[in-house]
Amino acid sequence: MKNKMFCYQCQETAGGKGCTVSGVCGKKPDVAGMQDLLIYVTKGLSTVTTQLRKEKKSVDKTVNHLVTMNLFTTITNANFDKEALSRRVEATLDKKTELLMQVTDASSLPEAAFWRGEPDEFETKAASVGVLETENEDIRSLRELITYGLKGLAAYTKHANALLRDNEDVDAFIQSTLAKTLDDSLSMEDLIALTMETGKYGVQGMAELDTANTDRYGHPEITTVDIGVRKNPGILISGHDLKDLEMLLEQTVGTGVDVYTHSEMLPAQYYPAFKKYPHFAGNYGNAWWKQREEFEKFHGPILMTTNCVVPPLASYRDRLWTTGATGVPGIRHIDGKYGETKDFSPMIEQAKTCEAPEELETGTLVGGFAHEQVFALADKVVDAVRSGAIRKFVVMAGCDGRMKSRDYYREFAQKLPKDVVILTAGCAKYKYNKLPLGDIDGIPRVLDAGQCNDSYSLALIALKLQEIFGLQDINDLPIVFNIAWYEQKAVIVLLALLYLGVKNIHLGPTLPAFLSENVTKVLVENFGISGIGTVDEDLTKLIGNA
Amino acid sequence: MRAHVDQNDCIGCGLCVATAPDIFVMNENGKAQAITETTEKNHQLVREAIEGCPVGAIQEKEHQEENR
Repeated sequence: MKNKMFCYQCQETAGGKGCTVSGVCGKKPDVAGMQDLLIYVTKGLSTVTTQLRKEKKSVDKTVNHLVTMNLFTTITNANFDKEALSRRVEATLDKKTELLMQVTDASSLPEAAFWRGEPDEFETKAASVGVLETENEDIRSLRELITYGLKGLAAYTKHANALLRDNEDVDAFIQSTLAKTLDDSLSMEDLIALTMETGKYGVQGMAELDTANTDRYGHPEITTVDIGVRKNPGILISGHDLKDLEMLLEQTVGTGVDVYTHSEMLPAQYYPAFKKYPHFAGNYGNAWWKQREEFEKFHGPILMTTNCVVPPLASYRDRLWTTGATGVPGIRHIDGKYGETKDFSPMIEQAKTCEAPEELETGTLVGGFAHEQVFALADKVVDAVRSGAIRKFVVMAGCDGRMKSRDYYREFAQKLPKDVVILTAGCAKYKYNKLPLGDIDGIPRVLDAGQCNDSYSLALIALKLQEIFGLQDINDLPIVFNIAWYEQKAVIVLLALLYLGVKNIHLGPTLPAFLSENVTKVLVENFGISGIGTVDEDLTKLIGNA
Repeated sequence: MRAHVDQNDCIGCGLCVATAPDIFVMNENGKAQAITETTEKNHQLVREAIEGCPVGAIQEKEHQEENR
C-alpha cells in the first residue's frame, strides 16, 4: 500500500522508522506533502540564487529571509497550516521566476529551478518530491541529515535576522548546500564532507545569534526565577524569539497584564535588559510537550513565537496565538516584518478579560550560565576541578519529548555522584532542573546556559577550559556528552559539536531514523557516537567511579 | 474485548484514528478512545493501531473495565 506521507525528521517518528499514515506530531498527510513541496521549491530557488552568486550578482537579503523562514516552517511542531504553507510555495515560485530572468547561464540548473505550478497542482507535485524519491539509502540519509541541520541553522539565523543581523556567508552556504542536496553527481564522501561543513556553519550561525542576543539584551547572568504565579491576568510567551518578547513586554507596560515565560523562553529571564519590566513575571510550566494541560490552566493568551506547538485543545484554542514561522489552522496569527513592531494589542485586550493563571507549583529555578557568566566564575570552577571537588561535567543539553524512556535523563541526573556538574541548554533541562541537586562550593550542580542555541556557550566554555588546562584535545577535558534530541535544531547543534571535534557523544533516547546503517557506521567510526543504555550502565561508562 | 487507550499516556497524535477511523476517535480532551469492540473483522487494524502507537498507550481489555 502506498504511503499517505513520509517523514522521519524527528525523534518521535512512528516506530522509530517514519510516519507514513499521519504525523505523530499531529501534522496530517496533506500538510506533510505541502512541507515536502515547500522544501523542494526552496531548494529550487536556492539553485538559482547560488548560480546568481557564481555570476557575481547580488542576492537581496529578503530572498535569504524567504529561504530561512521557509525552512523554519517545516521544523517539527512549527506549522500545521496547509494554506499558509501553500502561500509560501507560491511566493517562492514567484521569486524563483523573477530571479531566473537574471541568470545568464541556466544550462546547469536542475528541474527544481524551472518547475512552476498552480496551487491546484501542488498536491500532485508534492507526492513526487518527497524524501523517498532519493533511492540510494545512504545518499538519502546524508541529504536529509544535511537538510535537517540546515533547518536548525535557518531557525537560529531567523532569530538573528529579527534583530537585524544578517550574515551573507551563512545565507549563501545554506542556499548552496540546499542546492547540493539535489545534485546527483555528489558521492557519499562528498556529502559527508558537506555534513561537516554544515557543522562549521552551524557554529557560525550560533555565534551570530549569540552576538545578536547579547548585543541587544546584555549577557545572561545568574538569575533566580520564580515558578509560581501572581494575581494579575497574564500572557504566556513560548518558543525562542527574544525580539518578540521585547515587543510584547514593551506593549504590555502599564496594562495590568503580566508576562510569563514558557519552556524555551525561560532563559529570557537571565538577560539584563528584560529585568527592568516589573510586570515580567516568572516561568510557567515545563517543557513543550506538557502544554495542553498547562495552557488550559494558564487562563490567559499564549503566544507561540516558534515551535513546539502541540495541536490545541478546544478549551484554549481561542487563547492561542501564533507568530513568526508558527501556524495552526484557525488560530490567529500576528505578522510583522523584521525591523517593524508587531501589533500585539488584540492579544493584550483579550488578556485583560481573563482570570489570573492557576498556580501549577511554587519555588524557584536558577540559570544564566552562558559563556560570560561562567568565564567570570572561571577561577572558582578551575579551582574546584583542580581540587577534585568537581570531578566531571556532563553535558545534558538538548530537547525534551514525550517518550517515557526519557525518564532515563531524570534518573541519570538524580543518580550522578555529588562531584559531577550538569551543563545544560535547551528544554531537555526540564527533566532535572527542578530536582534538589545542590551545589559544589557554591557552584550549582545544574548550570543552565540558556536555550538550545546557547549550546554555543557550552562549546565556548569547553574551549576556554581546554585553553586554561593547556590541553591539546577538547576530549581530554573531564567533560562527557549525554545529549537528548527531538527536532532539527538539535541536529545542527550535534553537527556543530562534531565539527568542533567532540567525540563519544551519547545521543538519545533513540538514534535518528534518518541515519542509514552506513552513515551511522561513519559517525560511530569517526566520532564515537552511540546511543544510550541503562542509567547504571551509562553512569559507569560516562562517569566511572570516584 | 475492546482496545483501551490510557488517557494519561495518550499524546493525542491521532495515529490510531488515522489507522482505524471506525474504531478510534478523538474525544473532547484531545485524547483517543475506542468506540467499538474488537471483532474478527477489525482485529487486524486494532493490532496495527496498538503497535503503531508511539507511546504504547493502547491495550486490549475486557469491555467491563470501561464501565468502572
